[in-house]
Amino acid sequence: FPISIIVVSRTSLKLHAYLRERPERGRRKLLSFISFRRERKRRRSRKMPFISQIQRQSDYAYFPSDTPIVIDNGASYFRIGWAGENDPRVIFRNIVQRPRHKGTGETVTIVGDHDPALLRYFDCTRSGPRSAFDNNVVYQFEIMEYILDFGFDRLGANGSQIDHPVLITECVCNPVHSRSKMSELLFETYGVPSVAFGVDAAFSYKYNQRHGICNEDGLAICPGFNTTHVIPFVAGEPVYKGCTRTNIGGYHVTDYMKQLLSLKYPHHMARFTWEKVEDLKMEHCYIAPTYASETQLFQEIDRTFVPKSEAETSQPGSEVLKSRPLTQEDFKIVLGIERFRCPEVLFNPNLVGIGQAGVDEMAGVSIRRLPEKDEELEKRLTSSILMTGGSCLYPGMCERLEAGIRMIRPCGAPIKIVRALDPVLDAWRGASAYAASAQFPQQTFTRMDYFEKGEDWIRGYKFRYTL
Amino acid sequence: MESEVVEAELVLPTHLSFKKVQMYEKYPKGQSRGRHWKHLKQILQAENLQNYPPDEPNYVNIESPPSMHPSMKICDITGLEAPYHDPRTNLRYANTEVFKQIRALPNEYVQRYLALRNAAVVLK
Repeated sequence: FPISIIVVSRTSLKLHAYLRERPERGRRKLLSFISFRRERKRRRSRKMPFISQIQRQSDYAYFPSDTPIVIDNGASYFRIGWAGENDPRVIFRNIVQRPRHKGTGETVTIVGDHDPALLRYFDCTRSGPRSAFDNNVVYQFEIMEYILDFGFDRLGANGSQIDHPVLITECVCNPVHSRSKMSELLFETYGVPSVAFGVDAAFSYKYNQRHGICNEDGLAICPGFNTTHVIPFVAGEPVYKGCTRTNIGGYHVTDYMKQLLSLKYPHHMARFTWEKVEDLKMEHCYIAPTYASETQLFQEIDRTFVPKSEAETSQPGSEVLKSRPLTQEDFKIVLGIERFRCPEVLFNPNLVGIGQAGVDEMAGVSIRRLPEKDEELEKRLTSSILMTGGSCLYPGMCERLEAGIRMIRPCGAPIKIVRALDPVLDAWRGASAYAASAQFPQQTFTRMDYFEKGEDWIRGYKFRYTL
Repeated sequence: MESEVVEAELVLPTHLSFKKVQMYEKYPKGQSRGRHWKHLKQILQAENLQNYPPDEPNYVNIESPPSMHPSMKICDITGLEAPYHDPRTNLRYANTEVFKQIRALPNEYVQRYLALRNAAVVLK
């Protein structure tokens, strides 16, 4: 049987409560209403933000040697393109697989996510997808090299070396070892003439500032794939002293959802792949205004609404889970509380055992950590809060964040939260606009700089974002 | 290679013209490739952060502190608010129906629910 997903929404709960009071209305009306609602919802379905594009570009030769290549090296997706353009040319998932080909037996490298139908020619049992990142720092440079190979290849590179300056993003306060190994890789293996490193959240903030979405002084809240950052900006430059990082992100939300669903439906455990759960998360999850009030709504669920498999596991004995023949009911997956329980992890990392502050509390910590205590500055910071990064696309996130921040700021403080124009691509766009400006070459460093000045200089390398 | 695999250009080619040193020269077959990469913990240790002033921001400094808000206790199975705690399995539950289900769960599932919360006992 194919698996069908039943999504419990607030309207269906209200409808159920209504029908319980008026049982004469009957089941048929309920079904027709639900199917009507589903039609309407399908038409307003959410736009999926993550689409890979790996078409090989053919105009590499038309760009002069001083056009920088801009790379947004994120833990979820790798985006590469030319400076000055509005969209990256090549986008793919930042993972590498090294399976063995079944026919010839040789080990090959596959970068990014691909059509699973084509992977049947490869023996993927001993090679899972591997990422170059540990938390948000690049540490596996062999994998990074495969990814850069693929990225440059699809961009159309065909000379004897990459003859363009490269602007690549890194995490906040990147350790020296990672930064120097990355520069070494770019200079030695690809022959890049000059390199610059920047923080993706800062590029996104500057881009939105140029478009008038946020002001010169403000906070950037960046829930990403592995980590969430809150960075205060004063006079257009990020103040790293006030920056905070929590090690929770979209990956943890998806992982939580995957574990919950596989525990609830043990028969389908093998079918819940991480990619499918990520699709489910992007389509159905939202953030509740307050967790307690949403659970109140769900507590009034009628007993008959619970699927039969869950009601039957109340019988003692583990043989119930295995020997009962699977009925059609088992293939219906009900997504009720999981819809808002999983993204709640971003606000309460204690739910998955990570003992750090959630996103709303981080804003308060970040303001507290600023070196100068200035009330006017704090008011300016909270009246221009920008949300960027892939994990901020949940419906209801703005309201919840605003309520959370209002709780920790003094009464009457101005709070204004805006979402970036395009939370996923804005970091690349900001970097591209930056690299196209005339003062960009002053912020890069060349191979000579790297070898002469050594590691201490690399540690002190600071990027200026206002030009 | 099958034709559709070649057409889809799934596999990364071994020789790329724009590279000065190819992968097969850098990592010859047979040698243990890449097992010597330092993990994040080792990278941070090697940074010698104690030699630098502590108020300068670095990777370890900027981590957020533990949360000051009272922790939210939700039921491990249903997700509703859970004021109760089962002493035998260490799981949280919301009402008596969930409690019956918990007592019926095999041990493997109990450990997996606890592992979600990072509360499982890991025997090394």
